[in-house]
Amino acid sequence: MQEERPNGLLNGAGQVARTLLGLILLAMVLLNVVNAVSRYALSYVVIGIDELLVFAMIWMVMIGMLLVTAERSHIALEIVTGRVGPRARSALALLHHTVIALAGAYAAWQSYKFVMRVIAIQQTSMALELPMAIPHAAITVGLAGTALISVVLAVHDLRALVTRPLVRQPA
Amino acid sequence: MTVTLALLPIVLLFLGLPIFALFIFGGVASFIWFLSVPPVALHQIMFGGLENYALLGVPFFIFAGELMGGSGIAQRLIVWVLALLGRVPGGLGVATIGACTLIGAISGVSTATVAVVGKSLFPGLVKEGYGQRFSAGLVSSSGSIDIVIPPSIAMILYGASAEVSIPKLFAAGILPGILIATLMSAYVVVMALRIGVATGRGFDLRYFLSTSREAAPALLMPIFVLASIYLGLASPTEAGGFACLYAILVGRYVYKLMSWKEVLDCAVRSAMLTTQILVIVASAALFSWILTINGVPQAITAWLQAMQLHPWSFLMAVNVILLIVGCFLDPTSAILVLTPLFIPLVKAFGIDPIHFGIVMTVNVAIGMFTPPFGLNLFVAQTVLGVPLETLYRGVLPFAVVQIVALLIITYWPELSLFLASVV
Repeated sequence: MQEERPNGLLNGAGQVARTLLGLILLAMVLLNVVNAVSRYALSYVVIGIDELLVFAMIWMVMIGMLLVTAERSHIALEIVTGRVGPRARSALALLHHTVIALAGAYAAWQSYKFVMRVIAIQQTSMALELPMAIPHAAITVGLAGTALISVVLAVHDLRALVTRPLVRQPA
Repeated sequence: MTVTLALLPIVLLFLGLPIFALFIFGGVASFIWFLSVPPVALHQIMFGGLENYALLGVPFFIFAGELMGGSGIAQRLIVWVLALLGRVPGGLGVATIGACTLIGAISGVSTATVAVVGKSLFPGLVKEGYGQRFSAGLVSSSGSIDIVIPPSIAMILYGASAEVSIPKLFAAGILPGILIATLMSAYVVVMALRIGVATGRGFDLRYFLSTSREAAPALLMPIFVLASIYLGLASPTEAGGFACLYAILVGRYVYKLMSWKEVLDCAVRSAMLTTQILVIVASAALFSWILTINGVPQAITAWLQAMQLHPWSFLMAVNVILLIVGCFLDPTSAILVLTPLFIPLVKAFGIDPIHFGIVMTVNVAIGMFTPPFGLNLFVAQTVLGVPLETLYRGVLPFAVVQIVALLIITYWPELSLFLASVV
């Protein structure tokens, strides 16, 4: 799905999010090493690190999902998209982003309802006793953000589709 | 149900809809149109798909692979393998395979291996007379050994999906990985002798010792990763984390090739790659769950049992299906979609799930370089600057060699299970 990406607000926010992603991964590596060293070398179990690592991974993936969507770099089968002209590619991209926006919005809404239930019953994690709404909210943020970004991209694709000439100009 | 879970997803797949979206779309459509389960379950299943400690190995081994390139570890390993294999006929070609195998013992990313090894060895291969087509095919296909040699992301995903021990899978992958490397090396030697490629500089003990000294911190890395897992000092996930820290320290303070900014850049690239894989994990969990509650795996099992297939013919059919699927789909999607479908069948046929995991891994590894959509081909096209048509023709003999290896691995389960039984 390699297409030109819309400029502006998304790019600035994207840079911050990319740095955040890298920092989360580095923090995960450090936490993992602290966990293993304390467990095997010092025979001391730091309670809850495993849990924290998994929650950090879920947040990292969901923030990353926004970036990967914005950069149009999700894994896809490019059997047709790689072989058609720019206009048809814009039309396909418009279809993709419309589907992602609709399915993502529905899934985000269901996810939001689930998180509200978790908040209502005040569910906490087993080891750290963190409110479970924190890790669960990552899914809502990821899906809702992806749906929103897809709307922006769909508008961009539509504009590209309308403004592109019907017949390819000779070079 | 057939429309929402098969027809529409297949049409959208071919129209290029991202694979994660395909699964979410299939899931959402099922909830809206025919499932009686409350749709909030959708969240729970996706969250459950990601909330798995074993999956932490995915970002760690991707990060370790990225760091190897930037820290100079991969380069040192390549130079060391070259010094070791200088005298062998077709030494540079065999060294390419050796370097990929050695790097595969640390990294979990086949494409990164192709990029690192390709950049270093491809010009030399062409210069020595292997030809552009053969050299490009060799680099693209050798990178796939990375997927079979542990640690392997494909094995982590299979293990998580099939609920099979990941350390046992890692152990089971060692001998098949070595078999593939050996068969490919034998082919390269035969071809080198046939083409009349000049042999390398010959084995020079002094040079070998000096490269060994230089490469010692790099050589310690695969030993450190695998030993820590099999001596029970760390879980695969913890070993992955240690590998990252080790690569950062070696790159930063021993080889002095990495700034903190480069470490962060590597982390960002790894996080993005991880995302591409794990969003598929989360959404495939949803899709697989819907298939399961609708009895699709059970229906396929019953259908195949009614055909009274032998285990060997079932495995042959699986190989054919996976080789075809591998030509189009990436390993992550292939494993996550097909494992829940195959596992009930594997159990019904009395096949060991560890052995089956290796068969599946080798299949998806071959898919990494088979035309038209093997990911390694696109990386090689960019890094080596070789046209896709040349790559397509270049990888074909290596695909045949790896399929021969696949048949041996499929019908000789002990090769995979021997080391797994020791762990």
